[in-house]
Amino acid sequence: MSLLNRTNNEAALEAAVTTLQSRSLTQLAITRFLRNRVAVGASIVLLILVALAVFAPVFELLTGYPMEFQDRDFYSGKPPNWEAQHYLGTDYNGRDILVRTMFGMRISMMVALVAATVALVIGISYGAISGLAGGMVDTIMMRILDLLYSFPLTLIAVIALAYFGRNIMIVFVIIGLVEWQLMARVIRGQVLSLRNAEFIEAARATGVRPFGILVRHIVPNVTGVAIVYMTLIIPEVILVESFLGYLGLGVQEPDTSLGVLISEGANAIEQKPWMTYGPGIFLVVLLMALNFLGDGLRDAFDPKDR
Amino acid sequence: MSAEPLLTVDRVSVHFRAGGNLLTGVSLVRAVEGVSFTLQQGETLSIVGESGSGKSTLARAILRLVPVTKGSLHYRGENLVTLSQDQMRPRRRMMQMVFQDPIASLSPRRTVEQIIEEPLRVHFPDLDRAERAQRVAETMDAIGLLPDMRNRYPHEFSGGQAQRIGIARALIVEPELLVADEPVSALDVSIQAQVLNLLAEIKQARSLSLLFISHDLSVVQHVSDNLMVLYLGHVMEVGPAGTIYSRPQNPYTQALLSAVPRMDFSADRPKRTRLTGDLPSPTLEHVGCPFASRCPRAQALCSTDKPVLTPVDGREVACHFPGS
Repeated sequence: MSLLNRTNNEAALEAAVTTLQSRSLTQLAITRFLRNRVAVGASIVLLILVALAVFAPVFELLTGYPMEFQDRDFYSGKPPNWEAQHYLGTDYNGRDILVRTMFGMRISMMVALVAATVALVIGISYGAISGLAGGMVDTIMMRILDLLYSFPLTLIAVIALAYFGRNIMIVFVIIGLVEWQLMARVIRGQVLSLRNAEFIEAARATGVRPFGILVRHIVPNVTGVAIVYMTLIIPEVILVESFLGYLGLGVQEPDTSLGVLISEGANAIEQKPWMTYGPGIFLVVLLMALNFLGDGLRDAFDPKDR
Repeated sequence: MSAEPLLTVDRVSVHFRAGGNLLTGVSLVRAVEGVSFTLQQGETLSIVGESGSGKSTLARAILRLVPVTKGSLHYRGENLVTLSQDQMRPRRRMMQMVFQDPIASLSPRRTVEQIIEEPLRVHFPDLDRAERAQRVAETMDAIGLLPDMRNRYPHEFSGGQAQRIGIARALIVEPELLVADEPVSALDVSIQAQVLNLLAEIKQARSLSLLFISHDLSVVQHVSDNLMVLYLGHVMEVGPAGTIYSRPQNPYTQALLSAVPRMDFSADRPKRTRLTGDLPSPTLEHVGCPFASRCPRAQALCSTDKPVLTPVDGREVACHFPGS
């Protein structure tokens, strides 16, 4: 960005700051976020995708093809046909890919949301406790994490699904329970380096209570990182879910997810490439929007990286 | 000077457990060993020593930021060591600290105003927003910070400005004792002078007592009334700064002083005393003088008997063979 533009932005920010009665960090972050056009664009795209997924049944009405409907005239995968209202073509069973993509996105987003929330909540609390406690507690908590880390995800998934039965909620929870480990490690590392930071010592020296130190000095300094890792975990969760689907452990037919749709398409990519186009494009757009959003949020929360 | 000292430090030791895992035993780091001194109201005591001499640990122990292993700290007659952290909190208003790395000592996510007002929130919770803003503005003005800096973040400032912010944060609650842990060693030499002058000014204006920690004797020279030289947590020499500067008695002090660069090219300038070797491990317990291993004047006695502080020529020296 040009120097002139930057100065204007600073001036605009200053103006925004002085007009605000209470200038909380969050408000400053929002102001900064709204100035970032790419991030705002990404969040609009994301909102549209969420809306599409939420209103997936509408596509059944629009095209006239229910999600499970097998169109006998379009068996064994036919290319897009606008007259028949198969806008993205059909799969081997003659099912409409557009409708299935919307329903698949729904599942992928649910997995992402549940798993990322589980990861965030467990990861932050575990990491922060471990980092703040230090010493023996920290060592034990980290060794437990190492132990968990050595269990392969697929093994856990197979065992859990065999034990609890095939249920999509089980898949969500398993992914969440595995993905929090990275978050916990990252947060612990942050807290460890913050714990001995001079500004934390300064707060202690002036008599700030431990809770105040946690809330005013530690949490604001880990939110940026937590958000960035959250936006990294979400795409990973979506990919892990599709991998499990590929193994037949994820969502079960007739339900589907973006990953399942893509792996079906990938098997026939030379003969029937349109089977991959629809879900592929939606997955790429979804992941990119999440990444840009994550970038924007990090920049907004961390004035240092401006 | 008033009869009752502001701060009396009596045989304070700070030991840490360090290293140690399942296989090797825990070793004990003796950061500070039996340090005693008194600080009068309005006085400046400088604590000098090389890295690892325990000077920063001593400062933190006085503020109860690290646990005191042995000894007592009396502040206006009250023993701080026996207080819990909750009991300690209200006393912290009287003793504030300025840190070595000015930028790192400021919370990166908070504005200058939020940083400076935090001690007010802790110690004067009854003040409303406008009163706090007023106090912040007054303090910033007194320290030479411009009002429009209020809403900026620490990373937008130079080291010297950031240190002013740190000083403003320490002074807003009007303490009696200011502990400055190497407040200028991270700054450019030109800025060092500004910050030192500022400290000297506020000290005068507010009759503040100053505990000034530094490894740089040329910096210390301008601010101190009294001087204390630490080596491996032991006091080597303590007394009026002028006396020690002109006639150092402990060989360690002499070595430190001769390392200060000077503009003196005459033939009879003092010979540079060079120290060889590194600081011994702070985990050792010393039977004799801790400096014996590097001392140019060491004798057999030095490694078997620990010297105690004895008055020599207007100051106290811990050395079996004092002399200039």
